[in-house]
Amino acid sequence: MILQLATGGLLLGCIYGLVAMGLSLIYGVMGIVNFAHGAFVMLAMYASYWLYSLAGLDPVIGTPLVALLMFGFGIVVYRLIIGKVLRGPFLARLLVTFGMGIFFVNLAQFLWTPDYRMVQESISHGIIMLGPIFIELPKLVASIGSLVVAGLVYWFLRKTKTGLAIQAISIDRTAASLMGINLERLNAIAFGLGLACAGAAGALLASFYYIFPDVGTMFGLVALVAVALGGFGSTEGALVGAILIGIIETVGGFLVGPEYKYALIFLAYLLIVIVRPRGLMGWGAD
Amino acid sequence: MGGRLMRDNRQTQTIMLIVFAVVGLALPLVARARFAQHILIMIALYAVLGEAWNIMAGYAGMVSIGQAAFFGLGAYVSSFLFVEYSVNPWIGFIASGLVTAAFGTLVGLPFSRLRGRYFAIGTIALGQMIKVVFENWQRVGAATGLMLPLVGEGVANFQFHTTKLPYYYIAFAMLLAVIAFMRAMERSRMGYYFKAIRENEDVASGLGVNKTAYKLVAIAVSAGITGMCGTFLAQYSLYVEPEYMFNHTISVTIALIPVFGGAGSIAGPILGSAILIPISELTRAWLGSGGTGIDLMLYGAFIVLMCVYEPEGLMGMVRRAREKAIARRERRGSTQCPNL
Amino acid sequence: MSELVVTGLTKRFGGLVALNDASFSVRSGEILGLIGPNGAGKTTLFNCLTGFIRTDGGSVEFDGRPITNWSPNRICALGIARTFQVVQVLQGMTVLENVMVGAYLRDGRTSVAQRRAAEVLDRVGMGDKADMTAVNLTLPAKKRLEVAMCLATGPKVLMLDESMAGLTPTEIHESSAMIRRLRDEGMALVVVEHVMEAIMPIADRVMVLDSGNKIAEGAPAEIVRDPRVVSAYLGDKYAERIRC
Repeated sequence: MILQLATGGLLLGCIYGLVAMGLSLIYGVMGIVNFAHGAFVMLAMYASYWLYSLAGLDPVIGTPLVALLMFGFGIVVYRLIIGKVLRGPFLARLLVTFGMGIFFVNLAQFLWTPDYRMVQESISHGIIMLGPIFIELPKLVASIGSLVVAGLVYWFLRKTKTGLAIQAISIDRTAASLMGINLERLNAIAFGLGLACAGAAGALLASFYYIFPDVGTMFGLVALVAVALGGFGSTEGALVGAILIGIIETVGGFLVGPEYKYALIFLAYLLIVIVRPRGLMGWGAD
Repeated sequence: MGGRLMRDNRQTQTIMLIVFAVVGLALPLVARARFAQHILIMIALYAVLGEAWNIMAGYAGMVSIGQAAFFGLGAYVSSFLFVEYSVNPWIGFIASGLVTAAFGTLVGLPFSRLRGRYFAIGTIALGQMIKVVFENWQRVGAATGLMLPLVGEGVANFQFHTTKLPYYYIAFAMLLAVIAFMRAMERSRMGYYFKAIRENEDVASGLGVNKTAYKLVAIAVSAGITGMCGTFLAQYSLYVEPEYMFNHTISVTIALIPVFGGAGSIAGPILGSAILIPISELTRAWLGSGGTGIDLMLYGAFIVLMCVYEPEGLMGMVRRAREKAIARRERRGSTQCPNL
Repeated sequence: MSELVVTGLTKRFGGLVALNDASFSVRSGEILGLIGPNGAGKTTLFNCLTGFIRTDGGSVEFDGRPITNWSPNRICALGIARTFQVVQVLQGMTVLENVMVGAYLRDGRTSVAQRRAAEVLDRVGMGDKADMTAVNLTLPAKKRLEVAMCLATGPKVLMLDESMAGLTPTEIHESSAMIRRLRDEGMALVVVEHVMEAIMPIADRVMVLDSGNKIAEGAPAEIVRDPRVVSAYLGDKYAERIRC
């Protein structure tokens, strides 16, 4: 039984992990904690849904498209909003993403009503068996997809010139700019990339998850906890943290009761962060 | 020579305070419509909440986006005592302050080790956790919450039905009390130590400040006042439920108001509340009723615009205007000695 | 008459031994210079002594009382104050307020703290800057403010970490004069310095650290001629010259 739950948690954790990676990237490069990250996941879920309803595009297949759309959207958001608060005081940087989150969640509610929606016939459906464990195929596809995207991002960050430049910024902003790296352009790209991660996760989730305006909030909070757990500044840490949370959620939820599963996640955060204020693997500064 | 700046500022502050008290006392007599009075009550309440937040965040540097945890807890403590044991709400008022302060201290012990972002996120986590706990706790009504029984109207009962006026004066009295406390605190060792901790914990430590103790005091006081505000709202609305009392939006608003008005100053939360609360209440009344979410969309957009274009809030604008006036005065009359 | 006695202080950061069995003492009315190449462990020593880092071994005693691993604020209350390698003041507060924070340690009343702070500021020659916001000060002024903040806590031991770095010769001269005045008034001073011309003339004794080890201790005149010290700073080639 525990194995069953742990596997479910692992799969869930991979999806959380992709969201968390995007969040971690944004923080690492420009020091902004994106409290609106969950809202962006939600927007991607709706985008996927509408592409499916209106154009018949399956969410899983449409993932690259949605990710691309979110990337572009991220660049726009960066240029219009984020880029302008970077030089401001700490409190402004903290609150601006809150404002964006509130705006987008209520925008969704205004445009599409609070009704729950669902993609009815995704190509990934059904259950398979792996040994003694039941695995829902959509979840498996989504989590494998998440790992693929995460892997792509990882490759991009470590093997391409732009990616390395982004890493350089997140390690030492001043040194990076002194070496001729165009901070503004790369900040925008990094932000776009972070949203693309959220977008890909949202598209993959759309294949099996309920879609409604507030759906992203929990994902955003979980991603936040995952990043803090793994340690701000470490993208691998975010993934590890996310998987840990996925498992705590499923196993813990079973042991303590499903209503308490989120309380459990937050409790885990508090415990770990208090024992190890830098998170499990982080070296991020304030 | 030193300290003259402090004395002058203080005199101006005292005068402004007296003017404020007079205006505040007279306002509800001028604005008699029930809705207008409701807005005034909310302004006063959120001003108190903003000042309480300021103690932790503006002065001691610990930014909390989870004040709803203390707010709701206070509301529940007094309401539970009233509903189950018929404890007079005024006693419940004091009790909620004490219980919330104690809770804040308990939580503050581990939290005081966290800095900056980690602390803020921790408070979000705390806010969510406590909401979940109360949503599932049958003894206090779980998701349905508690309804406060209607008893005879009167100050002794902390309930008024025919007019909102007494509620306003209670809230305003709370505000005046908090302001008096903040003024005393600003001039005291505690206030200076808080500011030192905010500016640089290590330097403060090296100068003999027991930073853990003082952080806990800041959290406890902030939590206690916030809890008492929760009791006030419970007595005003006559019901408590998790979605109403532990709502995340309350935490965001409580943090937003001092930031908008200017954190780290006494006038900031009052200004911030005086402008933001009417906006939020009016937009909710005009646009929010259909559940369309337009009012909150505007709220969110407003926060973003404020952070981008006016990040230091109103006090920042005031400060810049004052600096420009001083610069202009200096340019005009270079033979005049500016106020040293 | 106060005495700070350090015995066998050791600190490890993972595999790196930052401080290895360091021992020394300093008493009222004397200036102990602490020199050594970069990375020698001087600031680590300060941090261990004043409670900012936990030690891995050894003991610290002040006036006979063991204070090893006490918290920084308790150590300050006992009478040991320190400045930081990169000058740290409370940027958003005025000069007077900065010093008041220190003054409050001995008396919690605001009027008293304010008066004492003003006195300390006059003593270090910064009375005219009392209402300036600390962030606007020049570097030497900030360093002087840092010292004033420490003095306001009424210390018996003052530990200065590279207080002369970045100062012009005139400023160094003034700073040295102030340190000497403090010594003459009975303060025990431990001064970490890289600027040799500043520390050698005023120190009563000098201790040399290299890679965490104490390699020499004695009067300034002996230290400059010690081949181990020269070797640590300049390499063996120059040490050879000394031996001749």
